[in-house]
Amino acid sequence: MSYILGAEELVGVQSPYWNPKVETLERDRLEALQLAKLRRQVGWAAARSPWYRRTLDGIEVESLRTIDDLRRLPTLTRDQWLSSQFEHPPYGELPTIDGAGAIRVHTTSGTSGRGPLRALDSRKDWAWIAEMWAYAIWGCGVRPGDTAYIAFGYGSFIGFWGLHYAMEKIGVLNVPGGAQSTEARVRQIIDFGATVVASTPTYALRMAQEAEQLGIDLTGSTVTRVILSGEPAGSIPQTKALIEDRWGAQAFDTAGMTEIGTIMVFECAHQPGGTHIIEDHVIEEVIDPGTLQPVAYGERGERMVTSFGRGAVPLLRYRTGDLVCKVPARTCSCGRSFDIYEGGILGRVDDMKIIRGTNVYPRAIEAIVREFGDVDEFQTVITRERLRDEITLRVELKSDVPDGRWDELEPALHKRLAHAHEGLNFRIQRAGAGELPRFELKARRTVDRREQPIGA
Amino acid sequence: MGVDLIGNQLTESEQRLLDVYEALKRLCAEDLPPVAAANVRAALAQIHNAVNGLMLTYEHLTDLGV
Repeated sequence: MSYILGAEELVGVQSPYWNPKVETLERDRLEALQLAKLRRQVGWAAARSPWYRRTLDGIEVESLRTIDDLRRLPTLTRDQWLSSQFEHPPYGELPTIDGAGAIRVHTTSGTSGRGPLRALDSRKDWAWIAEMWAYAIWGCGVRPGDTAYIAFGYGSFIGFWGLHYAMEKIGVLNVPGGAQSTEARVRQIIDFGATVVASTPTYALRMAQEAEQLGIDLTGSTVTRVILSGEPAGSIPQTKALIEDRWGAQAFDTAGMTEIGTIMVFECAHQPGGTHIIEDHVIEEVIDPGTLQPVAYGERGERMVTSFGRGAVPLLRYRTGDLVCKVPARTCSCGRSFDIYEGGILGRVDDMKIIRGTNVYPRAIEAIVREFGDVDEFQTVITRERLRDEITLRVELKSDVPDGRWDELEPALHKRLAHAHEGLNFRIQRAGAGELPRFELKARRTVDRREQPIGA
Repeated sequence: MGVDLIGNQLTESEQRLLDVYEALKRLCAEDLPPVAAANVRAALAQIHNAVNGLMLTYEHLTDLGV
């Protein structure tokens, strides 16, 4: 079956697909499309990006004859991108344009100790970022006439920016929920009669908790859909069920990353227990992180993305560190030919933690703690208290540090950690002498006591 | 009538979309007043999604300021 522009059953609001022609392509045709785009993107990157001009040297576009030839291209890591930024500030050598040719710059939410990644977008790139969200929100049933409440801070973290513009594009009444208290957001959702709410899974639960305290019954509200992003929890069945129960609405998972600029997967209205990959705009490889060899359908591995979206920052074989399990499109009954990440993003191949939507890297914490010479040992403890994640830094001082020093150290550590993590509130606790474990080989200073760790 | 990125014959609607897209690109090369120059680029950024999404063409537009 093939769909063309103008097919009566698939135009207008009755289409279940945002882009029926492509979302239902046969697999071999989809791969032919990916190959055509890959060749153009490789040619573009090699011609315009100083980074790729060097790393793609010797690879002729004409030699890319099948989609498997992708594996001949070099991989890109976050560390490489960061190093490039460090050596060639502020944007590094990846971009094909400088700041003057761009209209936006966004940064990653976390820090690896050397600052966040900075990603430039041209006008066309920025329009594409919203387009990717349109696949998702249309696919889960959002239509003109809906009212969307976007519980998001609208800051330098890219988050729901793209969703905001996708809602506008579709013709949804948008209520931007930036710079609001949780109480104000809950009241606005009710006052505006929102039918769709977008937030992180953690914040969806936080708003539900707030509504309960305010005596507001969300299950009796007009909200029918909650669109989740920013944390893997949107595909954790227990968390998702809890959100759906508290809101009396269907919850839909999505996932993206600043490095791409937008989402690359979404959960369709059939809710197959996973997220469809938007495969006409990205190639998602799943690899063994040790050997870099592809793993089979149904096996867990690291996702590695090649994006056709951004022209300003081409992304070829970017190692994401996300842990995923790809299964064939037929696992879902929706009719899309886009493969699925079963269970969404399962976590991280490395040890990054996500606390209330903020990426926390143990290595970055250590880098900060080590700035304080009075600290002898430390431990990071992550807990879930009721519905909220908390992070505590336990600190043991050197034996010769005067008692009064703690009163200066504690607020200084608190401030420094918060500054490096988007204002995240770290609890700082003093541990007694010799109380914390010591290590001879690989230290394990992060203790995650959550039943369902996020980003672990 | 042309073909798309994987060799399908374009429909009339697709061809018209592609024609509009190419016309906007040509306008970007002209010396237009700010009101036209900026809005043509904004329109081109959006219509690129349609022609790219329908597999009619795929390219980057930074040379046109888009």
